[in-house]
Amino acid sequence: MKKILVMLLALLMALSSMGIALAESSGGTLIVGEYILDTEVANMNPYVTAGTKSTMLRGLTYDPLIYFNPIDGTYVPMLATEWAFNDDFTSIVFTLREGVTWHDGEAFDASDVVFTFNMLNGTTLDTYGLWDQLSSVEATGDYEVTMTFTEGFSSFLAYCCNCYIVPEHIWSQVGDVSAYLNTEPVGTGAFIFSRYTTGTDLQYTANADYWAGSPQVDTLIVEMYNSSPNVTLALMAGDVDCTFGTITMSYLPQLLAQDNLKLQMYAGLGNYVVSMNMENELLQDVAVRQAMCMAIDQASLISRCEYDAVYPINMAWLPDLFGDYVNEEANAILQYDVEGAKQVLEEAGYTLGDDGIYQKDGQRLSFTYYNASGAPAQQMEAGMIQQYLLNIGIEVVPRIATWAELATIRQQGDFDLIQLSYDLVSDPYAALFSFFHSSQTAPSGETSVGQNYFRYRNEELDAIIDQIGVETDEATKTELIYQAQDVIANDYIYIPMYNVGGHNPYYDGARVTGWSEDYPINFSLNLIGVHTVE
Amino acid sequence: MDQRGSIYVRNIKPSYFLRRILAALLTLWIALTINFFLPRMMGGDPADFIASRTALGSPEYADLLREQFGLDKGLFEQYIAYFAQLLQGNMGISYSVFQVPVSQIIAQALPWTLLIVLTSTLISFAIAWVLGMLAALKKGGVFDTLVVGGSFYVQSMPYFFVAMLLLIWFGFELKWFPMSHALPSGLGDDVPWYTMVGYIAQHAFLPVLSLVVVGLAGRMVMMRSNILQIFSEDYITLAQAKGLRRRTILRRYALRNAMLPSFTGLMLSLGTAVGGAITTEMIYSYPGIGLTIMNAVLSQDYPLIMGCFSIIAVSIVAANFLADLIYPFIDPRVSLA
Repeated sequence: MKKILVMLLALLMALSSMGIALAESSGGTLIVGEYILDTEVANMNPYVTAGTKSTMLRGLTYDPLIYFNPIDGTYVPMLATEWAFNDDFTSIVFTLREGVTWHDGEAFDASDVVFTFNMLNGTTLDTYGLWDQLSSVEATGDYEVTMTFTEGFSSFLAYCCNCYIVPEHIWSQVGDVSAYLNTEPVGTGAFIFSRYTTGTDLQYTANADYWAGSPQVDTLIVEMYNSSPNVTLALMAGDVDCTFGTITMSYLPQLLAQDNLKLQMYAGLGNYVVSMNMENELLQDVAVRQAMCMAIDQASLISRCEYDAVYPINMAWLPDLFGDYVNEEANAILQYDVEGAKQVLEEAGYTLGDDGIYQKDGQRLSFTYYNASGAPAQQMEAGMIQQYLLNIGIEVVPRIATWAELATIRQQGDFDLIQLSYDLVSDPYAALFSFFHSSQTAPSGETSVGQNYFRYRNEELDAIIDQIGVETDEATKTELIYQAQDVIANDYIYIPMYNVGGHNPYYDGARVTGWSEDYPINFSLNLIGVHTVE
Repeated sequence: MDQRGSIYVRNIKPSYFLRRILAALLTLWIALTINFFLPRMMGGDPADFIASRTALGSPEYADLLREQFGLDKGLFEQYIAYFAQLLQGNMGISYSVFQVPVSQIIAQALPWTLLIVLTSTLISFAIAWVLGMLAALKKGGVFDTLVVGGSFYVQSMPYFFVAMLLLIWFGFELKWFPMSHALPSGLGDDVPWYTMVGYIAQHAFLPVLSLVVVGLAGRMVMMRSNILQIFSEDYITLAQAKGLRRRTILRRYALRNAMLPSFTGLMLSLGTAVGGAITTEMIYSYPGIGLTIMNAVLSQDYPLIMGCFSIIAVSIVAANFLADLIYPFIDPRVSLA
């Protein structure tokens, strides 16, 4: 028995060592580990939202017109070298890069951009609903595209970053583009897709003709893992050079102890908050909302559950990457203060009941609290927040639901409190309009129009936001954005938790090096500089 | 009772087959119907969910998706369409990876699942039968004590823990076996078949080992107690009294009867094999149907959920049907009347 087992082991090792001499050519290979599943890469159409994890891989093969760099909050020219709005933001002119070729050797020009945007019109591929505001996209030269909007659309650039340009000569032949699986993607990106092995990896080769210069590695391999602990373990074992996506936060201290391992951190567009439903009678009292916000020890929440790898957000809503648009005074309005929170409640006429819960006119301060099931960090955070609220005499009735259920509950306003993330758009007007403008909500029980799930309505704020959208003077616009944040902060509409941007671990100097700290590690202009250690 | 133990089946009637087939079809119809309603009874809405993942998830966009998915039609209409499709062998189009046929997703995942789950089931039953028999023959001996004690120990450990221990020892620390995947990464197109077989075996080793270790204990203890129970039967005492050789008694009388309950267990395990092994797939990043099902449920992918569950329902019903047909051949006391 034992002998057979030993022999079998030896045979296995011998057999597999025969094939070890895999493609190892001059420039070397960069290995990326990703928590990504087969179902997420089965469709390589860059406009199909098959899970968020696959989106970061699209930038390897495709380029957008411009790229939003979350590290310094600027737009980086990609396929467009210049862009200019007209005075009232009703049209924009893009000047395109010349001399760019598609992976199959065809030349790129304005017709590809025109085709890409027109292709989205009226289909489910238009995930941002751009054609609600676009009225035409036309080539005004071989390398110039003019887009016009039905009304001022100052935040268009933010959406433009997520629109990858596809080749007209291929996509115009495929029939129904929303049904096109695109299993052999042809783009202008830094890497050419070469092979997909089910459940194992995606392979890419360097695009030697890339407009920003050829990648220094010959091959890029994305190894697929079925869970974030797997990716993290592979990183610890040195099997992969970096990861663009999720890691298991609780491993972070161990991971950081590895030689040559670095962690790239930057604030991003994901705000985690506990949303309050303004249509709840008790939550209509601003004193209750303020007390709840004051009860939370945010620093402790971030260090204990997220290992300090995320950024705090505050009452001004806009996270750090909005730079000068962030109203720090509005942010400073909130301080963690348990006694102060109780005092706010008592001054508003609430009295502590025998059960340790504050009440007024026979109504106890008790709220349902939804958060995600099967998400350990989320559940731990919910537990902490619920305890913080209990500490100031506010009762919480916990409710657990799947992400999909939570999405519906939030859209329908079927909650008192709900702990979920919000993905902002990289434009301050869009980030304020979509979440706080009265036109972007609906009564509880009806599907919200935009993302104003708080059911928040304030005419004063509506007027300020409307003005931001059409203001062309930069200083005035900043001033208006400050005013809007003051109103939002003073109304305590949500309990702030933290902002998630990137926390990307990578080895620098072990097997590969040459990373830039100016761009996220998953961005093609960063990846092209990476090379193997001599 | 046929004393020589030859295969002899009495009273096979065509009506028996017909009844079994009809029962199987009825079971299948009920299972497939539950299968249709189950995902729709979960909270949430797939179109709203997908719309909410983009920055401007608007109700109009969700409506457009609903129309594309055919979810704007009435429930009964959807039910009829689902069965009509299924009868043609079409399992529909996935929502979460829109436009990818469910059959393609399943076809990618299923072979890997079958490889590790079937292999481990067969190996663990084979080892369990041998060890269980040896333990029963020397009841109370050192081997018996070790084996039974050991199985209780392993049995009381949760599966994920055993799997993680194996991964950490043999994958992370010793580096004898790969920690993940079914194939090595960076594979080219011109790999000879024998190397490929080596790769597959090497990558499947730890997942299979973990499933064997965990499945072994219960099956072995069952085999052991079956044999012990049969040893106390009168016909064994009679055989011993007749002076038959121990080997003859074992082979002709004890083993055949002791195998029967285990055989049912084996057939049921084979039927459920297509359900995959979610934990194994997660721990070893092994491609398979288990994780596909879990993610389909989490992302409200109705066609994918229904497709996977249909395959499971069909397999279990088929395995049971086969077991019903085979059983009379291995146990002549069961008649096919």
